[in-house]
Amino acid sequence: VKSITRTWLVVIVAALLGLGAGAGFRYWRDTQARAEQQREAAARARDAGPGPQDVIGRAAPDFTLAGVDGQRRTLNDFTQGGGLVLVNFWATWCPPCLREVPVLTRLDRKYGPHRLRIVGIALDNPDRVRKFASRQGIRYPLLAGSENAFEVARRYGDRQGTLPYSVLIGPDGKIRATHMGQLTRDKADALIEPFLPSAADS
Amino acid sequence: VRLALAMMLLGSAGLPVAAATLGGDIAGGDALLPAHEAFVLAARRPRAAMLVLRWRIADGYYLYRARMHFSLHHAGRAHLGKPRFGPAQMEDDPILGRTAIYRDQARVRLALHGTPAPGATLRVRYQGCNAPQGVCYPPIERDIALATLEPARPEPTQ
Repeated sequence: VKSITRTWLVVIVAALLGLGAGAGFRYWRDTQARAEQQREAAARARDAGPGPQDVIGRAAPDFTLAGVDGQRRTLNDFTQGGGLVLVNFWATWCPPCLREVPVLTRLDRKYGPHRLRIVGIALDNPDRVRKFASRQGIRYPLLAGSENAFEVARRYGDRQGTLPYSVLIGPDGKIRATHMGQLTRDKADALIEPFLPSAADS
Repeated sequence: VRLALAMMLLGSAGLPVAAATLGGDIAGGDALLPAHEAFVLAARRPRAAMLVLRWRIADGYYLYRARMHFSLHHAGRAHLGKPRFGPAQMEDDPILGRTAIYRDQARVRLALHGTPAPGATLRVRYQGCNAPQGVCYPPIERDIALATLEPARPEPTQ
């Protein structure tokens, strides 16, 4: 009888040890997995941030950047007009961006500043931008900067600083649409027209 | 004892299920590769006096030859020869005019004159774009420590 009791005791102790070890391992593993997830999320946030689709519906982040005319500008300077604002991130080192300029100039003329304001943010040297702008006769406002302009682009959903990148902001300051890549005439119209107030509203 | 073993197994069962579903967030519309995956740069030093750079370029992406720049830093009196570019494709760009670009791969040979100091680095700058989406990446700068590029064969001793 005594030996049977002892056998059971051993069995129960071993079982408890087993459960304990299992639970311990699980806890350790979950902690590891959580730490790994946190590291990954932090890396994603640092390297990537939001993408072009993620920012749609969000309030457009405010910014302060120098205009190529030397004046400092904020987002508010452009949204207070009550119309749509198209922020175009570009650079002179980016050939598709240069190809896009005539499209933007056409939009500027077609809709006028009350319905659509175009703002170019160049991730580039201000002198180069000024020269290019005067050669091309760009009339919409241009801002320029290096790291600070890249940072604005990242906050607007441009993870890698790839260009051109266009962001349409509504009169309420919320981002309505984004487009990564060169805008053709058709793509530009398709981006903007759904958000223009109809003739009856104005 | 058999039971105890069984219990131990039970205790640790049900573990390896949870952590399988991470990653895989494909952001719609932004299918661009990270720059280091679109343009994979590898450097070799086949001889003491020769550096060879090779890019593997992902499908749909390209590099501009005119935007490739090479410089030596902390190299003492060693210096680079003029880059010898592998064959590029010539394209007529409406903005840039006649332009040399690399698709699929690019290769550049750089003669290395003199013996570089131990901490010497090769700085490589390059810039490329994705054709289907009409987007360009900002200029990329990579520093490669020459110490990591040992010559494949030791120099013949005199």
